Amino acid sequence: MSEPALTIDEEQRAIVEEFEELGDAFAQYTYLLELSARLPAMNDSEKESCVLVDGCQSQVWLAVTANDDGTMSVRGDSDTLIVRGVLFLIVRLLDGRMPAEVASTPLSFLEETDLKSAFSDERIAGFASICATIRTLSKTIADSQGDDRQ
Amino acid sequence: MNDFADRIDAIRGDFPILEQRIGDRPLIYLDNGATTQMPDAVLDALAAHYRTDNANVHRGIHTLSERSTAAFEHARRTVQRFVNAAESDEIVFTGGTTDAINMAARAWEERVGPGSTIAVTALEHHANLVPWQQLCKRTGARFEVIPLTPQGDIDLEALETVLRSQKVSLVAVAHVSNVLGSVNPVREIAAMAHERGTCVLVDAAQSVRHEIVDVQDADCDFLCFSGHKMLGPAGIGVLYGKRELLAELSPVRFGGEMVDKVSFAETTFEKPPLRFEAGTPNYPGAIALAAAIGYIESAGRDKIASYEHELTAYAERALGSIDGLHVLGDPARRAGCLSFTVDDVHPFDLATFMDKQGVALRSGNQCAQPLLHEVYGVQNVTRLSPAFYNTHVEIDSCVELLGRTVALLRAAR
Repeated sequence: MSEPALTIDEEQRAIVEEFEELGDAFAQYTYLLELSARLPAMNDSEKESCVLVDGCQSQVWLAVTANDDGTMSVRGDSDTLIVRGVLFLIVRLLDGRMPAEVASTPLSFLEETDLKSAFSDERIAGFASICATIRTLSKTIADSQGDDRQ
Repeated sequence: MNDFADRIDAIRGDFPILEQRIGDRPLIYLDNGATTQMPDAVLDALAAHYRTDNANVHRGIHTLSERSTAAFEHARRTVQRFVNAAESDEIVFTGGTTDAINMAARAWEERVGPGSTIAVTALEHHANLVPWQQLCKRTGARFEVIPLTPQGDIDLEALETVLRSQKVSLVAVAHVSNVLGSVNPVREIAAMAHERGTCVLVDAAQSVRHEIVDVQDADCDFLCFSGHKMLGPAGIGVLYGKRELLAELSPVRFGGEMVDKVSFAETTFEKPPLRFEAGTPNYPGAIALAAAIGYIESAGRDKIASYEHELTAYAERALGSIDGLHVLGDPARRAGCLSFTVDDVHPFDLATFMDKQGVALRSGNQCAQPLLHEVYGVQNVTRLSPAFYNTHVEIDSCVELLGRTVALLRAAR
């Protein structure tokens, strides 16, 4: 797997700019629908091996695993299209990264776009739960890689 | 003929919050089941009290405290008149419906135990279910859930069977379901319960604005509601209790205001309602609630009721034009709200996109998880709940946008 050209922070800035160019909240959410369509859906057996982040209104399934080359695989799915669109961006940001970089880089793109004002506190909390779950899993992988090197 | 349609511009003018845009779209506020907006008259009453009369109530001997106390007790009498309670002592101010039910359930604790039953219905809001469920867990009493008919009405035959076969201490029932909008026959339920010596608590949170709530006519033992669902502010609510019942119940909260004499060894308590109002009550909220009642009465309770019923029925008919939309329940009478699912569309996506187009709907489990999950087998719904300041044009716009949004979301799958 080739090294990502941009850091997570650089990629986040690119996402923020993409959303700013779209204009109003309706256009931004419509874009999330387009992104949702590009996120591969998980089947039921794949979901069974995932971490379930159960929110008030939507469910999120996350699969965060180590690749043979030391990078991380990040995949996700949700029962709502809007969250699937956000998951597409998270996968774009984190899939194929080194776990140490994922564990140490806060995901701030949602708060830096107009999506923040469009997301309620509850939904921001849901996004925070997704990020916290990924960071915990990536830290576990990073720690286990450190153990392997000892 | 209801004259609301002719007066709607003037009525909407009393609610300046409605005259705004969300993004570049006019706000269409259809989440009144969650909270209603406050007219200027209520906001002005609240501000005026703080500007000219504000002081803590009871006990103070200075002028402002006397004015504040007089306004607070006037509010109690206003509520008494509004729900047709026999006496103002039967009106306890609380923080809201949830607070009122929790207080009642705590106070009821000394009356139940193993061998007795608390019955709720399958359509209850969590606020009128969990406090009773937990009471039963604490005391060993049986927790009985009265099922619904396929149409979404309370199965009165099942209730009768439970009342006949068990020692039911209390039936807790919503006057109007916050999900289905079913109007429940609380007078009939109270009569059935009283035949067996069972008390009845009515959750009137969803009915108090658009059903005539008359505690003497219904002959309920307790009734509770919130200010913020009837044009008042959040944080104020009411627990009505029959005088003789309130007099028998022990207080569940302790502190200032509710005591008579206190020594290091003993405390004696005030009579109801003060006995149940420990600490500084939300007197500004109560005063604003009285102003809200004044507004509702001047607008005409029966007119509000008939207009909102008609608007809800109009919305239900209009929603029928959307392919794959299913309204939950078909009760004998529906008031105030209706909830629906749409094939292949998640309520979260639907309500979010509607919000971006200026329409405030509510998605989620509506604080009624057992009803949705265990009775209807759905996880979430979208709810539309109009008020008398909404218009038929708004309903038309909402339904048109719903149709377009459903198509957009289906195309994105």
